[in-house]
Amino acid sequence: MTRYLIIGATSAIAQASIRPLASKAAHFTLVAKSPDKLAIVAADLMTRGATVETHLFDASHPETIAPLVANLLANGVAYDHVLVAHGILLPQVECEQSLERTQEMWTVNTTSIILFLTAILPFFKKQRHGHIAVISSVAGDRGRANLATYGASKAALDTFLEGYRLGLIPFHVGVLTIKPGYVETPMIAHLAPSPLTRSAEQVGHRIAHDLEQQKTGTVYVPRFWSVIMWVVRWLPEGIFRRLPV
Amino acid sequence: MHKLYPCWGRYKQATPANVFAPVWQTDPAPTIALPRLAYGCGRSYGDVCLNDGGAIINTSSFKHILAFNEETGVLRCESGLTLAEVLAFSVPRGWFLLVTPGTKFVTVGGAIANDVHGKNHHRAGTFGRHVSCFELLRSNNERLLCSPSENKDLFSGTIGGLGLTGIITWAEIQLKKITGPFIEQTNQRFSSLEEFFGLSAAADLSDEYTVAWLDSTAPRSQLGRGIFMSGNHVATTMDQKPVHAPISVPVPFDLPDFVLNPLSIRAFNAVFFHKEKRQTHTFLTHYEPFFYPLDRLTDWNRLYGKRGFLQYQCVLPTDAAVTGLRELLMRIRDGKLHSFLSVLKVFGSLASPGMLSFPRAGATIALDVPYTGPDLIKALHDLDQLVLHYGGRLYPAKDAHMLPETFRTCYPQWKSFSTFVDPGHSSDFWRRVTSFI
Repeated sequence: MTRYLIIGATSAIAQASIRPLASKAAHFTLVAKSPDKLAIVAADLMTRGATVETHLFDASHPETIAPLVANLLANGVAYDHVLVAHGILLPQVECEQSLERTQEMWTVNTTSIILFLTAILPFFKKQRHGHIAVISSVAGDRGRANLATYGASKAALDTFLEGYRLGLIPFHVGVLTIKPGYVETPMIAHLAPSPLTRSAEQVGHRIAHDLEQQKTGTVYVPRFWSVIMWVVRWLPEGIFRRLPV
Repeated sequence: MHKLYPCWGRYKQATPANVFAPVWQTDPAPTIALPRLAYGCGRSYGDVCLNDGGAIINTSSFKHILAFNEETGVLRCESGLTLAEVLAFSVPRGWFLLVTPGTKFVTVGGAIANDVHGKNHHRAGTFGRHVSCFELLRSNNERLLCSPSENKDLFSGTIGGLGLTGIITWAEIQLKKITGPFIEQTNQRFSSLEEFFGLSAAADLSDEYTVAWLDSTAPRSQLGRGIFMSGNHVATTMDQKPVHAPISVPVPFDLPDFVLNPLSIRAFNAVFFHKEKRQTHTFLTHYEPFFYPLDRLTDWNRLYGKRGFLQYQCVLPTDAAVTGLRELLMRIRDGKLHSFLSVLKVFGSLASPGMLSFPRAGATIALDVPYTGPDLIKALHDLDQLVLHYGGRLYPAKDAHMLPETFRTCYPQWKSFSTFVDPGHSSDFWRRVTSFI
């Protein structure tokens, strides 16, 4: 029986990633904000043979993380896989106009995840096995004017995960940073379509595969983004600022 | 700017003014004054899935399976799930679709809205026959459970109702028990329509799935030649090694218009006919190439280039089938309406619960025709007159050309159907065929 802990289980990418993993040999602990949506996701996984339990969690309230983790990991429950998949994308204009919205995005995307990973750390160090994956974004690889706040929220996560990953090596726990590009989900519904966009199903299949393989380090999904972002990171600022991005 | 929402044939084009992509089927209906239409995979050949200047509601996020009964094979799922996804779930569990069209890349909602049919119509009727209930979301945000006993007029209106009665959010369908994914297929060459009808009469008694590929470009002397294909599910033993599920080959760009022309199509047809060297040939195959031969080529509609193509499908009643088909084929040949994919089948008499359902007892022919200009449309209108003369009708799900008068004659029940059309829903097709009002 493989035990999965999925934070942000109702997100489009999370659903597309865990659906291929559903089977009679899988147990899912799904954590998300809305009980109705959790019920729909749970029913789908159960018809595919998996056993499922659900827990409520609102990432904009980080004070609920400690009790959540205590509840999930009490009584020596061991998870083989953790996937952290929640996040929000607010247009930069909205961030600039509202300190509250900026604060909210930062709390959900970065603070809540760093706190959650810190809270589960002692349990995984004791468990001495397992795999932790976090969905970041290509947006964290370089700051852009129209994505400054969102990009930073992911960049902070990426750097934290680099250290977190190294710290867990002696404990045989693998940590994976997943960087999707443009994925056709509600998150980018307001953006113009791009030939680089992929469906949640396509991205989810790749992520499911990476989870099964227990990949560690950083992966771009689809893989071609690693080349694009390598170029983007390398470009001197004098050139980058002239690009229409 | 929105991603494109085209139809499969691409002869007809449309640009929606607004696009909604609800994530959860529990989301409320959008509040917008423009007429709206649900869009699944966009595999309708003509304009039943287009809504120029209106609102498109993309249902492709509606992909959850809500329940499945392993004993009875009853599946309840959201309407955006494709038949491919249903099969990926059900086949390993020993269940198949009771009715499937020639592509699995259509949504459950689309299959209901077009009341699709398949190679086993003579045994199982249309897709709508195996739908026990569904939820319909109307534009005023009303959710109605529709079944043969509840909201039964809307149930009947929505099956084959082309998306005009509302949005199907989820549906319950009956699947069919199978013992394995393989099919025993038999191919037989025939050289005349009489021979086709003879083969069909015999095969329909013994075989679950029957269809014929027809060479519509054959020389006059060999008019009505083709290959008759029949199949049945089989349980295979370990030592039989059939053709396995194929890899897909994408058509990455639109072919230039000249590639599919009368000469190349005629040549292709001749090769395809003569490839079947033996008179009769039985072999084992996986269900994929048997049911979905074109699905291997993703975006095969690009073979027709930017000009696009139309699909012409009609049914002729049993008593007029041989004569009518012969005249139809001669007109097609003489009019140089060259099709490289023409399909012929005898429909059974199982009635569909759908108000606007297309199949009826008789023979149906479907052909792809590249769009070559307004003369083609005129030629198709002439064919329509022939079909009407023989008491037949056309299939709205594939139509991109029929005149309002033709639609009215084919479907006299259109008037009572229109009372169930949601005032907030419309499509290019509906506006086209009701433009006389």
